[in-house]
Amino acid sequence: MSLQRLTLRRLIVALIAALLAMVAIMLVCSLLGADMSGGKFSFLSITDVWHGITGHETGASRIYVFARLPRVLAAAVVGAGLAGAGCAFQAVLRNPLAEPYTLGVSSGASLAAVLAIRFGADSTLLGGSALSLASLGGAGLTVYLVWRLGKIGNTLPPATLLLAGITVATFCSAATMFIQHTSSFVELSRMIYWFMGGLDLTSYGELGRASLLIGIGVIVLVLYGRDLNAVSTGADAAASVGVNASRTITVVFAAASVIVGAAISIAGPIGFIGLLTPHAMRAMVGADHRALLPVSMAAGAALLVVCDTIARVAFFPNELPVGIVTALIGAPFFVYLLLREKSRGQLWGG
Amino acid sequence: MLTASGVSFSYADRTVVRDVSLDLGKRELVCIVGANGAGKTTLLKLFAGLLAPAAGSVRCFDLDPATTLRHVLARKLSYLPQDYRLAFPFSVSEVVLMGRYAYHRRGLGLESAADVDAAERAMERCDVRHLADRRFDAVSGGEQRRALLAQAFCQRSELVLLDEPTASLDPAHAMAVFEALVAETRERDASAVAVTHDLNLAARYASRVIVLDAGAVVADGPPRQVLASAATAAAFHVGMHVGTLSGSDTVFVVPGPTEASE
Repeated sequence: MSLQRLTLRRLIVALIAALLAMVAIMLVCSLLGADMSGGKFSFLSITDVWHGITGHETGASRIYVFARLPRVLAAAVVGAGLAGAGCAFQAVLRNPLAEPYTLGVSSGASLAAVLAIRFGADSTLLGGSALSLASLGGAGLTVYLVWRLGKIGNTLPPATLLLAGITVATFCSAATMFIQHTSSFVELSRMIYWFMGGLDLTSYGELGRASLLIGIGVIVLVLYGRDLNAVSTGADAAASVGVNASRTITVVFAAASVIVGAAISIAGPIGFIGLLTPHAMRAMVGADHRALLPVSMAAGAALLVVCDTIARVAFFPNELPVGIVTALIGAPFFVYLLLREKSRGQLWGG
Repeated sequence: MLTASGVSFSYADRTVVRDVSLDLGKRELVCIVGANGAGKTTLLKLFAGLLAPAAGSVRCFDLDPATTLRHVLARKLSYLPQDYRLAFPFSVSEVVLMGRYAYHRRGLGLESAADVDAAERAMERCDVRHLADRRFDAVSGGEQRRALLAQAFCQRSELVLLDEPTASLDPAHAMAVFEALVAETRERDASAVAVTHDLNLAARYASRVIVLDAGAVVADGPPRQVLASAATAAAFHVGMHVGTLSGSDTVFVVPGPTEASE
């Protein structure tokens, strides 16, 4: 009997399975649309789309290339990033209830976004992308603040990091509400729309920029997968097996924050993907982050693509903000998680 | 193997370790004992490089443990913290295999067949082989301790530092931990330093006992001699009756009123 462990073969099989499932879901969801003529759903013909792309442009290929594809790709990139970042935050904070926004990244991004809307930067400066640039900047600034506040000497203990994150998040939320209080009705409705998250207005340019940042962050996280295993057992225990916990936490925190900032900049603060995906995948592939991180990313991508498709077609011709769909699915899961952790008496995981 | 010269350490304005100097050679099994708050854990963390001394120096295989890269140091020494709790459902074998992390630096660092071999041997030595596929947080406290010991052994370090390895273990499991420690250190010419409150285990298994009192070493030597000394009684604020079991050379310690002590 050989030891049950993560082998290259197991890793490759898990990755291929996850990627195949993800691509299949992306393909089906990108072809699926609401039926304009009153029926339930309609599918674009894959051959029409293919012929349109390779030969003469057709109606189907135009819809696919300019509306569906960027949207599905954006959902996949954002979903993968949020799931990866959530998984990483859970490991460094040693807390299964952590998620990408636990340390206040989204609050900072939101504050910057409402400031941009309130002072009209989004409409005058660089158009829509000014809003995404502002939220990216806000996310970066918040992360830096939290990191500085959480640091004790050269160490970055999870507890102080968490406290710093909560403090900064609370301040940003209050400031956001203050700005909202002083805003006009039109501005307010745009802010609320931004908070709910959405992928409907993503351009290829924005998608490219966010994908680059998320891609870099994701590669860093995967390279630190093994060290995250050690860090999740505590700083001293990690040091014993040869892993510098403080350095790992700093690098992973930075990489995950870049991912979250980039994701928020194109999609707004979409909740629950980063919380529930790593949990669901942990039950399937185990706790080893070398497999868990990439598989969670593929699953997060697929999940957000599905949620966004539901948001797009369920109440056609009205579209739901995708954040509502992820929250409606995520909240019951969160409750289930909370009850399970409570019953096991290890809510905070040490 | 390990040398401490004039090591002191303070938390804020409270000095916890005072001017500790000692030398540790090969094949030693040292038990550090002392009352609560005597500075035992802090001293162990100074040895492991998890804390840097405020004064004096610690050298471990000619390296300064506080500044050496952790993966370099991990091949020389392993450290078992007293409190080890997992946030995620790793299996026992996954926890043991973490002991091999120091031997892979690049890429994913997947464990090789040689790593699995080392882990299997360590698990057999610590009698946890049959628990390999169980969840670590689902096995008993004693089994978890033995699994962690297996992690330290499969790391193949020459010095193992253990912080209360037998805390909350029943006598049989506590003895099993020390038996494994003795066997492993003998086989590999390695050494171990264990902080413990169990004076009888120290008396029975240690080759050397060090008594700490208010951060300073007050006694250091063979178990029987050290445990029976006046310095030990003073450090624990209680007398120590030290005897030998009839028909064997097993030393036992019974704490008792000071006036009755030997």
